[in-house]
Amino acid sequence: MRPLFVIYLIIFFFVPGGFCFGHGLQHTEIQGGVGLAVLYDDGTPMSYCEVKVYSPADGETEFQQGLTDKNGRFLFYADVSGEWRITVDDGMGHLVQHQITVDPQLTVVPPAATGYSRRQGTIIGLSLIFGIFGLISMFTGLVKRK
Amino acid sequence: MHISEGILGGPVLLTGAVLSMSGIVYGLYKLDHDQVPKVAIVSAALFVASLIHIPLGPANVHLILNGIAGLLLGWTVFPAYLVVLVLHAMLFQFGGLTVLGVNTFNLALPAVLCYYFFKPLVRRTERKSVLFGAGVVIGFFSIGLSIFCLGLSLYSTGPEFLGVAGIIAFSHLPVMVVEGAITGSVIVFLHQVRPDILG
Repeated sequence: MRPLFVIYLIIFFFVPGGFCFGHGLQHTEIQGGVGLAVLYDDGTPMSYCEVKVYSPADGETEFQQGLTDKNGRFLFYADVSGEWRITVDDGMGHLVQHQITVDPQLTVVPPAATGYSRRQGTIIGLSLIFGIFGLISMFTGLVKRK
Repeated sequence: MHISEGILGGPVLLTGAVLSMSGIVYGLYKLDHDQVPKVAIVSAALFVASLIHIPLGPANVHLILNGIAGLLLGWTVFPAYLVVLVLHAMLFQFGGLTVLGVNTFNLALPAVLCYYFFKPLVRRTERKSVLFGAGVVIGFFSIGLSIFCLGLSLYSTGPEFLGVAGIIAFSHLPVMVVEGAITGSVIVFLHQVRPDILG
């Protein structure tokens, strides 16, 4: 038997698989994370939209890219504390930019409650429209009188 | 059809702001005291119409009604849209303050063109079928031109947005049909009850 062939046989049968294939793999289940759920104002989720996450350490290069899920949600795992910037783009001209503050324990600092409900916004908007044009009417009336 | 902040480039934003500002100044110059209540009511209608969303597969579109607004208001549609879009940005985070100029221009310019192209026809004719047909054409024309302006804004920022503009155009085809029907109905109704508004 030729010596080279014997060496091949030895490698094939006796060297452990882990050595032959270079890298072993292991995995661990993780829970939690930092996330965002993005909806249109009528409650429709922004499904499968492009998401970019920028860490506090580097605001130029994305820390992570991906897509929202069917329900408009996206999760990532912050590795440093600070302001994390997230952009969600539906590719149709709608782009959401949001900042999530992460504390040194890498947990999310809850944001202060802001924004209006759809009904509140509609009532406020209509009131402001008639208020603004009421002022314009008063002004044009004064100009006309002069 | 609002473009959100962070998408368009600086030169496009600046161009939109300058063009819109010109339209707004001219619109305010043309705004007569007696016309202010009409502008207020049309602005309120535009504000509410934009909140009526129509889910179409992956896209989410809303009524625009800039054609009928232009027909009723002429150049004063520019200040009307400015007010509406400022409130949309502040109350609902639609669009944004930096893209206000581009969004105003994309919606108000087709409205003004509708005023010049279709006002003489609507003023002269008495036939309901012609009025309704004109309304349908106004709905199609105004939305189509707004999509063209929006596509041009996106394309000016980067040619890679051309595909996006195509998707937006395709997703707005049902809106054009709905708006055409609404515009036609409104014109026929106004012609019956208050023809002086169309005159």
